[in-house]
Amino acid sequence: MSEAPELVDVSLPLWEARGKSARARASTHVLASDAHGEAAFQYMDAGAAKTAARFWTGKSAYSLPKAQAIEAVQRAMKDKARCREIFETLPDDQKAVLSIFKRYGGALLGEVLECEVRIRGLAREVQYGEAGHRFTRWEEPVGLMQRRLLLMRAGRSRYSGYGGELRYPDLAAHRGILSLAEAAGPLTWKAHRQAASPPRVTHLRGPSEVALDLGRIARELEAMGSWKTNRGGSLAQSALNRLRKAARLSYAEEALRPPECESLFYEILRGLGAVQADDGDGSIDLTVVEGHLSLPAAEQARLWVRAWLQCRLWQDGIGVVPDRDNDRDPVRIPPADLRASREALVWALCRVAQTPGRWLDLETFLKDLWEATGDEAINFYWHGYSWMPVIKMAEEKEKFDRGPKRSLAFWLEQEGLWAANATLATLAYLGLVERGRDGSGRKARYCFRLTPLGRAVFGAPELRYEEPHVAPKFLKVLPNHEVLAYLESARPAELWTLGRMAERKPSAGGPVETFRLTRESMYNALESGMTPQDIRGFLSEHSQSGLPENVAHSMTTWAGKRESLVLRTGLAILAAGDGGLSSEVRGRRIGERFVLLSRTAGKRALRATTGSIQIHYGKSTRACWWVEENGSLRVAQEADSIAAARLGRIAERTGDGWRITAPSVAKAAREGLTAERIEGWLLEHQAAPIPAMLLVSIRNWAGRGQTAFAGDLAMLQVTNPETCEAILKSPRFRGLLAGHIPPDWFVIKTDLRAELDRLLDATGFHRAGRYRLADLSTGGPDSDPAAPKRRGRTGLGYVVGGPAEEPPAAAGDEALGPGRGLLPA
Amino acid sequence: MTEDRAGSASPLDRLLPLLDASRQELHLGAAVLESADPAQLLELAANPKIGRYLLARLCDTVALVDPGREEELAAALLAAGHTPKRSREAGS
Repeated sequence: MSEAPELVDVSLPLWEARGKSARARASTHVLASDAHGEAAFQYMDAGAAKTAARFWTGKSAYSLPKAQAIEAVQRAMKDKARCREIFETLPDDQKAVLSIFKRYGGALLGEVLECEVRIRGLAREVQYGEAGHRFTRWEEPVGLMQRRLLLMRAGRSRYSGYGGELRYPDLAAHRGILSLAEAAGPLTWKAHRQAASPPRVTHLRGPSEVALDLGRIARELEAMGSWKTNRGGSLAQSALNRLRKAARLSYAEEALRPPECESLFYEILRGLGAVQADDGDGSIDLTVVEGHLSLPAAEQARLWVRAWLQCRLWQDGIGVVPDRDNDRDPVRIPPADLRASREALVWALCRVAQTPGRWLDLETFLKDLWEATGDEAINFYWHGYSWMPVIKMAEEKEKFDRGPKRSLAFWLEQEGLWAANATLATLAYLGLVERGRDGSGRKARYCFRLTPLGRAVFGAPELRYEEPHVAPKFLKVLPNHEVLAYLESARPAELWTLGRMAERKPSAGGPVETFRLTRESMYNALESGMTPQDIRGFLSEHSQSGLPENVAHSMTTWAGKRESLVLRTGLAILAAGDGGLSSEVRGRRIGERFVLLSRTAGKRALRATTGSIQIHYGKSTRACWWVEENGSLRVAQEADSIAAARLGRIAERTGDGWRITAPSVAKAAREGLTAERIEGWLLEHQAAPIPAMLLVSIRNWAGRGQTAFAGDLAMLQVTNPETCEAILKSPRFRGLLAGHIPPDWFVIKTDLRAELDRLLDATGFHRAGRYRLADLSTGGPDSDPAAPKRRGRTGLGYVVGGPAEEPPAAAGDEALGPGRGLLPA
Repeated sequence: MTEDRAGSASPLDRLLPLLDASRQELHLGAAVLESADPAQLLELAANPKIGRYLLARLCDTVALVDPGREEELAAALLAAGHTPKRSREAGS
């Protein structure tokens, strides 16, 4: 089978947008999909099209070309009477298949259809052939139907009824026929061995806890503004680290917390439509989150499961995975396989939901899952999960001979562990599964059952969730500004509101969460649009202990502080000039010479003041001054007030202009300006390149003084590299040297100058001669093509002075020409 | 300016002089920090970690923010324990 493009589930937004009430949607099967199959016509070959046309319109249609055959089928499919005629003629097993589709909303993944068809007894394996040449095939009704009444969905092509395999593609039922079918009833689950007794240690997360964490992640994402995403839209590592540090989610049993759980919530928020992640950047719309948290608990949880089913880049027991895989060294479970596995697992849990809520032993459940779903539904290769419970049969896998048991044992070690992580880590974290344990360490035996919420989500439409009684007063506000929230009595929407105004303290989870009212939390609430009255009203209404007076006083003080300081951005300001402000200018007057204009007035002023100076903040500034190396600065006539204000902060006025000096920069530094800021201002307004030494001076004046040496040194220069090497190795010379400036200068100890002269004489050097320096006008020795490339560059390597000097000739010495003395030619 | 300011100028004048408005100018996309009273503005201007983002005064309670530094100023104010109300002009 060729690999078709990855399945894109269009059902979620369509389904949710159908206008059904939240309560009605909560009664929908969690796997329901109304994905259409009409588009599948484009995948039909000519033979299939003709067969379908003959079925729908009569024998003569078989001779039609493909396009006309399809058109004929489409016309007939819209004919209600024809649909009813066809439906009535269908055999019972094909009607039963349609009933399955009706139960699931009209569309099914192939793997789930296989499970349903087998469990409901609609398919059977048939052996044929002679002894020694036996074959297996499946007799099943779906294959016959798919050419006529079940339509291919865009996605994978997996059909096979031969070779002992039963594999279906992803299909959708024709709407007109589907409407005539009755929905199939639910299936129950039969464990081949129940858990012996209720476990000693249990763990359950309530829906409010989950909603609280989801809300926390949403708020922290909003505080980030926007963030970098990887290809595919998952959080970039830096953003994930920031989120983890800010959200501080905690959990009772760390070993069973889903890996990178912040990303799990992030992907759920994406699935809900709250997070948009395109082109490398992500952002969040909190109104979507708020709306979601206002839904009934069962609907919220159903949407979490739906989002989890779709999320490709967070995988159970693994965490965040990249969008691209590596065929030779896979870094993730193939998303299409993961999607199918999740749906198959959910299909099994839907059956569990219909069975009275006993505890299910984990290993037993996994074995039953394999038996119920077959070889293909949950089938991928991966090893190494965040939670690795001991599964006895998997550990003994090598003991089994080739056959079903060995296959099961190996499956338990890989796919089974995935299913364990998905059920007892992911779904438990989402409050749908209650986890139990007996024993510890390698002897721990795990079990689980669905929570009441989980039974409602997986048991829909037959089972409903009874919302627990919520008390209006679910808080206690304490005099120390802490707020205790009793989660079992609270609605998620109310917890969301509380989270807006108070900081949640890290906890290990549980029925009571502690929040704290702080100046920052009040500030954030006010910035988000709440008023002080909203906050007081909420706390007073929901607090069992009322609002302590000191807490009320603190809140009033904090709110007042916010009102006393306002940062306004994006303004248009008109500066009057010497002519003063015209009375026709509309806006808020500030002082005697400025007006804050509204946006409209600002645009009008823009047109009216074309002759005046216009300063567009955020765009390039005009160059209006020239500064020299000594800090002297000339300002152009057209310099604006921003340039003037900046100049006033960093320079002193002199007789005929300005000057940047050590005192002016030191003062600016005391007032908080850094050397980088001063440099930035200079760059913005300077009309010519800034002298480099002035920048050095500014850094020095601003407090980052550098050291420099200027003084007398006794120096020895020897230009022959071998001679330099010899001097460095000579014990007699080394005792006289204070240092070496590569490649050919030595610093002599001042008090040993006479001894050096004697040593130079003794070793045959001519002490008369010239020294060689780099030419400053060419920028240094490296720029001199004739200069030896071995020269190094040091601060002290260049002596500032004039051209090489002729030392005075000693009495009796011959006049030296080039090539004599210290410097050989 | 330094000599003038060192003499008879008030502390607020020395730290945050009035913006030169001798010519008509239109500033677009500007940001200002408005305080309840001059004493608060003086306190803010005197704090180097905040004052570095304030460029000049429009009046005794309104300071012009150095262009492009609004977010850094907001962060500095929060870090110093202030809780400024943010007001964004529509379209900014």
